[in-house]
Amino acid sequence: MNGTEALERRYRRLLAWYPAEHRRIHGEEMIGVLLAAASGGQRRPRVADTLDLIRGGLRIRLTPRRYDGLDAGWRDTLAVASIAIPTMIAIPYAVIFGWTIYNRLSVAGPPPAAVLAVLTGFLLLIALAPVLALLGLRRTAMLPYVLPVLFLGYFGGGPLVSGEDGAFFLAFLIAAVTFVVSPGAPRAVKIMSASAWAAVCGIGLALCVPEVLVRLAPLQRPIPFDGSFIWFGANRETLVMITTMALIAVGGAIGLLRTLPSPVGRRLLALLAVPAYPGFLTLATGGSGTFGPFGVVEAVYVPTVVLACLAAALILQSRRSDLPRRPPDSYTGPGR
Amino acid sequence: MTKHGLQEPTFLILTALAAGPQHGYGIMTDVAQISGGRVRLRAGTLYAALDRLSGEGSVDVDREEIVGGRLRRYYRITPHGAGVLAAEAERLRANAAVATRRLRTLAEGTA
Repeated sequence: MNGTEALERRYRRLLAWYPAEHRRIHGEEMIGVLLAAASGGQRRPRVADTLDLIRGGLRIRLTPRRYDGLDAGWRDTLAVASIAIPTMIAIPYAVIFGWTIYNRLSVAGPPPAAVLAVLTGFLLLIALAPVLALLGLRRTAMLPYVLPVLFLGYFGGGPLVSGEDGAFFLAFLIAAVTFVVSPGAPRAVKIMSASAWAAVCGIGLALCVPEVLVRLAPLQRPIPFDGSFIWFGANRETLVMITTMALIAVGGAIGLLRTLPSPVGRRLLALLAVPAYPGFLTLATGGSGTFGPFGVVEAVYVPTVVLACLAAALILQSRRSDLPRRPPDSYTGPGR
Repeated sequence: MTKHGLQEPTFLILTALAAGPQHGYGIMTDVAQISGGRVRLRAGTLYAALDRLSGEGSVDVDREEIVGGRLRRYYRITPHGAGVLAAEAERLRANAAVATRRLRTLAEGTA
């Protein structure tokens, strides 16, 4: 064994002071740096290097991290969710906003300046939240998710975020929580390939479909809500809406499962199911009164997307050994 | 931004990366150069700091290369990290300005 090999072996022994995950990510790199910094003919680590490595390992082991209680799969899932969910929210909100402004300007004239300013500010933040997250500005990115919840909690209603099923509220809360507890967008970028981004955007576009269809073919009368109209209502617009969106959503779910590492894709789909619970609860309890177009959209499309995603996940999970997964080469987490 | 001042090694690491992406050994030599040889980072300190800065979103991996059969990972400062560094540089500059002003007053008083 030559001097370099002996030195490398001793450095590797010292790296045992570090957590296994840190060694997996940085171990080879640290060995390279330690050997590069060693003097020619050196066979043993210097005392100062030894103490520094022990101190560094202990510091990493003892320093609490925000996401220490989570296993690597959930950390990566929350990291992806911290950028995927804001993206999925931003796309339909941008479409709804654009359409609303277009309609108001072309039909009823410009809206009051104050209303327009508030809506514009809110929707710009919603649309920019994924970009802000990617720039590491988590606190600013959280604003459009936290403010409506506080606002509606205080005033009990809002112009764009209906409280009828609370689905978007839950999505907002999940997005805000993922900003706090996940490693954040930098980690997600390592995990998500271009195809995964396409799948996320596909689901975001799927969320636009009912809104676009309703506005293309406005409902002429309120739909009586008795819990059965979704399945037996024979409302052509609703059926077209559900079918179109479900097809796109299944495509998006398949895309997530195929492009994200195994535990991350399935767990992300499970997380995406959470915002549907209020919708299911409303349907299960029969609701009350009637829904206008917005109510129909919110009551129908979120549960539908989620059902489609979960169905796709369940079908594909049974065949997952056949699925190719191609996260970027820089990804080194579970499922690689 | 940080409520407390950055530790000197952290400040110097971010300063080194502000010049462009660098690998671990490059950061160590650059920090030594920036500090005039006063601060000599060791691997344990460097990677504990990089791990923390990465978790905070202040640095990110730029690219990886295999050189001589060994992994060489380049790090870059993020916009968030640049903001943290700018705030710390401004804090240090303000403190130094106050210290300089008072020292000048002291020198004039004792002259």
